[in-house]
Amino acid sequence: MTSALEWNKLKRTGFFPAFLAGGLLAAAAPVVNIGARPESFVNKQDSPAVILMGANWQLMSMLLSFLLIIGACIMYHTEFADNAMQRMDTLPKRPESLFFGKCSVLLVLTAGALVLGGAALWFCGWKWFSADRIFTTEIWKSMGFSFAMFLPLLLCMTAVSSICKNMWISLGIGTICLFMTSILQNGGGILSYLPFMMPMKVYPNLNGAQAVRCLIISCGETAGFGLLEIIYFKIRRNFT
Amino acid sequence: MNIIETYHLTKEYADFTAVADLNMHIRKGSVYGFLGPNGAGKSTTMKMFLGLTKPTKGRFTINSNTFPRDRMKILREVGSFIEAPAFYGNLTGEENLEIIRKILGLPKSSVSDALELVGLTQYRKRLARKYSLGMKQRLGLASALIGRPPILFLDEPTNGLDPVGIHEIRTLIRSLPKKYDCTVLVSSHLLPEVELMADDIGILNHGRLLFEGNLQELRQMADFEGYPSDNLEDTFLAMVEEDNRKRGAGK
Repeated sequence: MTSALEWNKLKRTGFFPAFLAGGLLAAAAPVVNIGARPESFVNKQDSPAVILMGANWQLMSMLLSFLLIIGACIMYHTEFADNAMQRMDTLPKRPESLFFGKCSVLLVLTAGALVLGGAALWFCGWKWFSADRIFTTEIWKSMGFSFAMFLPLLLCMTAVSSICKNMWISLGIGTICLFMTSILQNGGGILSYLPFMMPMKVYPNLNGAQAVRCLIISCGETAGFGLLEIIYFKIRRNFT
Repeated sequence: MNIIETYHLTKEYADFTAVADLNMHIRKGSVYGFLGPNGAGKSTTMKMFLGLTKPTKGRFTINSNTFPRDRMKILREVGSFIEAPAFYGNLTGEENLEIIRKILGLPKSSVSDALELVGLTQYRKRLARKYSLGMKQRLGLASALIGRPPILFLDEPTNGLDPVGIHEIRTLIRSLPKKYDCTVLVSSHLLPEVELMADDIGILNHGRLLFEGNLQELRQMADFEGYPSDNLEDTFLAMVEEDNRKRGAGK
């Protein structure tokens, strides 16, 4: 029921058009990139999935990450803008369920945006690489993997938005962290597992053990942010 | 029988005491007028009742439920309107109430019922952000009244209303105990307003309860203490002034 309520609250906020436009923009990136200069890609020796993901995923994941940041900010802005949050706090409903309800909406829309992106990559493979069933499987596996990689960012940004009453602060934090990824992306080690870096992981470039490690870290970070948010609500309740 | 009782309820911030050692008693089925100048601690007290802020000391019971153990139970039985109207500006008045209805698990008819009670039926499809101040105030009241809760906390509910609106809301509040067997705690800084609505009143100044009782008892106390008693507003002002003077002397 909480998720259904969260969907209703987002009417007329520009949230759904933003996700649709952002998802389409991210999906258009590989089509335009490959369509404009196919000769740069079709003659490469790697598998189509590696070529396509390698050439496009960085831009696509950046756009989708930014979309997620904006989405999380809009969601909590509707709560804070006209003080609706205070009314919610006076109803028999825990703020934790509000938070996880919002996360579930973002989850569905992130999955939708990834499906659009996956479809665009599949189209590129079909059009320029005469790709086969193995490619199709590889692309959808990549999208599934990327969905898991987006989870820590999703929880992290929703948590930041729930803390900052001023949307511009949460948006600023999200944007700065996102730009940091472009500085950090060449460095390996522990920094590559930060929530804002995780969506940049390219599944076809990872071996089995690396992919499993990423999935475990993603699950751990997701659970960690969820737990931190619950602790934050407890602290807020006791110190206001 | 008292439905709400506080025991030495205190709220302190770093260097400021908002509510000090408050012992309140609100009878079931009464309208209790909570009176005090701006910053007296009325809203803070109501916020403590709703769990929006935690008491520093003391405790309270609402319908035999204690805070914080029974907070959810308390919130189920209470309708509230605190400080300013709180709503989703991107939703219509009706959609705002629909969200509250779903959370409280009320029947669908409760939305139209609440809109009717506050006279917003014809504006139910308008976006809440486009409401006038008075209409926002009415929407806030409707969200407190939805489902006809047994206890209502209304913090300065007539702010921003025109004289006709003030009269309507006042009449509505006055009628609630009889109509719906409801107990109302209504705060105001205007004694004439409280005088017309309340069965009992509590006068708060700088977080301290200066008086609690009915209007008759207030007059008797004023006579006894030598405050003017012909006009209750003068009584209130004299009490507050005297308290401020004592505080000044104490410091």
